[in-house]
Amino acid sequence: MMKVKKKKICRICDEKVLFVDYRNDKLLSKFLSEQGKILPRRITGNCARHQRQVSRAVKWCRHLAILPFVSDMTK
Amino acid sequence: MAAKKKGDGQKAAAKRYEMTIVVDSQVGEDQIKSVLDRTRSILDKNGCNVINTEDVGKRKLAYEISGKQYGYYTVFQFDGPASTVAEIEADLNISEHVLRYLAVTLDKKLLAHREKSEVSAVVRPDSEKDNKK
Repeated sequence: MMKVKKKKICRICDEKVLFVDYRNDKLLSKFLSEQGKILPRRITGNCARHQRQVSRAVKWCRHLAILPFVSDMTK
Repeated sequence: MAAKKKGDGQKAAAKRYEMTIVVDSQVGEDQIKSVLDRTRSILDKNGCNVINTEDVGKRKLAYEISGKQYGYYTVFQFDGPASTVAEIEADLNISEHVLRYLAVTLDKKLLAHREKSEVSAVVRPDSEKDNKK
């Protein structure tokens, strides 16, 4: 039987976010795993442009110690 | 011809930057102020147009930085040449109380986002977070 796949939508396109803000930890944490890793596009469903912007923003955010490199749960 | 024009403009070309500075919050207000005042004086000296200064305040760090748990976040927005940014970064590197800094060019999209976004959308200090809960 063929699996019915639900088409994923880029959440950032959908919400019409102007700029993926590196200081917006609430938004960025949606694209992180429990461990604090950046989730791949096949899971988040982001479009290529926004995945790039998210990963850059997460990296900036980690540098400023707003988001963790490794979450406390896995430490 | 067009390329030449670009080259001519580069001398005075001032870009808009957003610089976040994280200072160790344990050292006391005077020390934090002195670090930020030094940055401000460099900006003044180079004739930069400071658009906005945002004191975010004390915030828990996501991870320990050289044994420190809390940081004091400040954001500067200014127009200036790249050399000024380099000068500030050199100064921040020397001062021992600065934990982290990040300079980002403020392009049109980010600027529009900053003007539009609510204050709650960006990182807030711990004190305000507690109030919400």
